[in-house]
Amino acid sequence: MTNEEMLAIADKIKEKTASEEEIIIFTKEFSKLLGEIKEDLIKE
Amino acid sequence: MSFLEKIGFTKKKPVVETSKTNEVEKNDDEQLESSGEVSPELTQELDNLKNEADDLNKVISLNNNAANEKVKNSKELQDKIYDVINIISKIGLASAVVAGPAAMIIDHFTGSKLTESLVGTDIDGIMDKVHTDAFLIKDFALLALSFAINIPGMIREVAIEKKNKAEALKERKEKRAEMMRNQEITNRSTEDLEVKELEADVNKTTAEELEKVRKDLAA
Repeated sequence: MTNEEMLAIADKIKEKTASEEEIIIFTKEFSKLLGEIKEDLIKE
Repeated sequence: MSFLEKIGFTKKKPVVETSKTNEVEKNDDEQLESSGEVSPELTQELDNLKNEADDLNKVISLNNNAANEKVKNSKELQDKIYDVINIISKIGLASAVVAGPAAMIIDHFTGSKLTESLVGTDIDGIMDKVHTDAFLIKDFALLALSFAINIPGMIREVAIEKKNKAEALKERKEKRAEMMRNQEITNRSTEDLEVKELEADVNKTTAEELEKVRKDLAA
């Protein structure tokens, strides 16, 4: 999922118009992004 | 003392608040799971997100200086952090907890008065300023990241609100259907009554006509 697509769903979540499927996809992608940052911060 | 500590945003503070928030969210999670207010799949994904955010906060709090150095030296990492900050700001945390510190940091380094004029300020404009200055993002990024912990709770609230609305809509539809059924029964009863009255009228007329015929024949 591109960053633009994530931002688009984030907008929908804010506006409370996102479907549950979109919320689930967004949540997965956001977890992935936080996980990547965490790995980047801890790797030597 | 760092600039963030001077302005009241100690590096440990967000983590302490986070752990408190976690306890509250954990209790909320347990209640929500037991009441089944969001689907099991979404509950699972929100738990995963919360765990990732928890882990990230631990990494930041345990290795703050090293983490700062990595952010300072990695454009790729800065871009990823910017994406997270942007998402946080989109979902609605920006004005209260992200843009405020960002504006104060910008004011500190540039001598501007952004904080004073924050009300009504375009949030995206502030985020762009933070993004274009790697020196600022170094101080700001880790603080901003710690707010990712609030996202699962916010998403959960939206999901629950949506579900409640859907249930309210379903309830209204069911009530409407019941009213229509009742109306139909009433209509049918009325029709039945009308038919009975009509039949009685016909029977009466037939009886009268038969009586008339009988009288005519007798005469």
